[in-house]
This record gives sequence, structure tokens and C-alpha cells, in this order.
Amino acid sequence: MNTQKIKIQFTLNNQETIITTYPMKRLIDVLRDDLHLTGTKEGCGEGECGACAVFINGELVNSCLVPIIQVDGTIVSTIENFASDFELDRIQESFINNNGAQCGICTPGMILASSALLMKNANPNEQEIRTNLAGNLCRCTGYNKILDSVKEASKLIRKK
Amino acid sequence: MHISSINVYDAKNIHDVLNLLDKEPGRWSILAGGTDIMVQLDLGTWQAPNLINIWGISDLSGIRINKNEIEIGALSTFSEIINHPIIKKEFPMLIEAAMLTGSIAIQNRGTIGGNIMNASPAADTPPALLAYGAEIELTSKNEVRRLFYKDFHINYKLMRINQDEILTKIILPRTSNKTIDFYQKVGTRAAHSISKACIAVRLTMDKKTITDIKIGLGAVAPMPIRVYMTEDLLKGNKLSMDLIDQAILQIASEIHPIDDIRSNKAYRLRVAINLLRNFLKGLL
Repeated sequence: MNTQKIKIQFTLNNQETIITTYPMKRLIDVLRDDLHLTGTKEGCGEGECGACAVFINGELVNSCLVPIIQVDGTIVSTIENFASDFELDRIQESFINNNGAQCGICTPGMILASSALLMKNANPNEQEIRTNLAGNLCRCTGYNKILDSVKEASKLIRKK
Repeated sequence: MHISSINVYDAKNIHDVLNLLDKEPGRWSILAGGTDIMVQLDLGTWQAPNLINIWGISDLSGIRINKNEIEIGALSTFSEIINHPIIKKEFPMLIEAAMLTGSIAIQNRGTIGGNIMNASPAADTPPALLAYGAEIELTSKNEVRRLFYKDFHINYKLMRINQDEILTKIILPRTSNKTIDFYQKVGTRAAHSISKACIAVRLTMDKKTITDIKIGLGAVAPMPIRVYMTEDLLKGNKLSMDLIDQAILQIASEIHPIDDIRSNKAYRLRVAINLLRNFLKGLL
């Protein structure tokens, strides 16, 4: 027997969004399949890799582990919200400058986790960066370039 | 089970939850932060078709500091616990355990109540709660009762909770005694791994005599456990190499580790012994 679909209303990247779907549908599936925001990637689908990271009410979460019913009334921000039409975010710039991305699957999650860190600590040391990115797995670039990217982003942010 | 077959009741407050559990005991499962249920749902192993969504119910979250105890709402996230200055000062092992639970994205979502109710023998916070002598509060429509957390887990995923009850609080007793805490988890990597073995100890000492000790362990039995006989052997005695050797023999007979994908029986036994021995030797 099918359960009833429900109406979910939330703010997504500064836009009011309404969707009608099953309450336990994963946020990542709503973002990618229903709303065609494919910047958020799915890696493991079980909260190990961090590729699907988004912000809900300003907190970093794995969108593969959030049922859409828990998104009702919240403010969601994804990687698509980082760059404007004219300018990249400073973290994105730093990842490009330092070759912090290779295949790119982990990159949106890495950038969101970096952003979550830099918002609470604009000048993290290497250990703090490592700890804060521990939930984000990369299988190709290697982590050194990602660490360099975050360090440069930290400098750029403090300069402004 | 496919998401189209999962029926979710969106509870607005604790009374909603208690009424439903009272009306249809056994029919409903609780959905808190979702970090365990969502994984099982995606893997196809989740079998319970009726969920009560409690995420966002303010009656169930929040940390309250009383004179003699700290009450942690069951819906408090690991991040909320990590960022609490008084818990950090008085119950550092709980902070350490919370910081070792998953990643930051998990800590922002996972709840301490969910960690207890998911009842994984390898969960990180239960050993710390056991070593601190925590109590839990279980609430039904007609009753609020307290239970020592050490008595809650009976066997693998089997707990002393009635079908009309929900876990509402975790209570930590405050102390003004000078205590020594020791928490260590052994996993495959430093961050974001599931325990192969985990130990939490709180003790008090008078000169070199152990006056009180509680030892909580994870991933060495079908549930998080205390090792009472090892505690009794150490309690009231002057710490010596001989006493440590006796304690090691005792703990080896008191735990029941298993072989599984993360480790094996022999390794877990050795690790548990080494963790306790190294800690106690450091106090000599």
C-alpha cells in the first residue's frame, strides 16, 4: 500500500520551493532528480563520504541521510548557491588555483565542509582543517592539494 | 522496504508522540536525526513501515544544568553536546565520544537518544555514559520513570523499554570529587570509523588506592557493558602491578568479543586488555 505524498515547503538557495513527494524521500534525490540541481553529488549513500553535503539552517549535513519531511520549513543551501553569475566564491577560486579538484565528485562536499569550518574559524591550523574535512573522502586528487586549497581560502577570506 | 510504503506521522510535540504510542503500542518506530534509519532504508534492510518523526520537537532537546545533575534531552545532537562548556568541563569523555561519532555532518544530525536506541554494541557514547553512571528517563502517556543506563541493554538490540515508551532524557550525575577519566577508541582510522573496541573509565583515588571505579566498554559484547567483577577487584585496593595483572585476567573472562567485518575476537580481546592495562599502569 502506498503512503500519501506530502507537500514540503522550504527555502532553497534563497528561493521559496514547494514539492510534493514521499516523506522519506532523501533530500539528495529531491535536489538532483526533482529540482535538477546536480551540483550535489552522491558518493556512498550512507553518510561516509560527504560528497552530498548541503547546509540546512546553516549546518553542514549529508543530504543522503535527511528525509525530505525534516526539510519542511528550513533554509537549504547547496553548492549552486556559492558562485554568483559573475564571480566564484573564494573557496571555489582557491580549489581551482591549487588543483584541489580532479574528477570533481568530492569537490562540492569539500567546499561546503571547508566553508562550514571557515565560517566558525577563519584561520584554522592544518590539524583543524584535517579534522573538519575528515568526513569528506577524495579518491583521486590526494588530500594535500585540498589542504592547500583550504589554507589559501582562509587567507583570501581574512584579507577581505 | 521502499519509501513509498513508509508512513510517517509528523509529531508536533511530545504529547502527540505519547498519545500515538499509547494508542497503538508496538506499531510505531521513532525517527530522530535519521542517520541510522536512512542508511538502512537505502540499503533495503529497514522493515518498520510506520515512523513517528520527532526531529524538531523542542520538548525533547536542550541541555539543562541542575545542582546535582545534568539533563540532556534525548534529541540533543552530538554537536550540541560537543559545544556545551559544562559538559566539556565535567564529562570530557562524552565530548570525546561525540567527536569520534561519524563526521561533523553526522554530528550535526545524529542524536544521543538515537545513539542509545539504535543499540549498536560499537556505538561511541555508551561506554562513556556507563563510566559516568548515567541514568535515562523513559516516558509513556501515564508514567515518567528513571532507570540506570547500565541496566538498559539486556542483549543485542534488546532493551528495557516498553512499547508505549520513548527515551526522553539522559541524566549525568555531577560530582565534586576529584576524578580521573580515561577514554579510548580503537578503530581503523582516527576519524569517522566504527569501533573495534572502546573503553571508558572513571575512577577516584586516595593516594594509590582506587576508591571508586566504573568501566564501560564498547564492541566487546552483544551490547555496551560494564565489567562489574573487574571493577570490584580493583575497588578498595592499592594499585600495584600485581593488582593490574589480576584485573587483566578478570576483564578477559568478563568480555565476549566476536569476529565480524571490522575485527576479530582475539584482536578485540587483546586490545581491551591492553587499553585497561596501559591506563592503570600510567597511574602507578
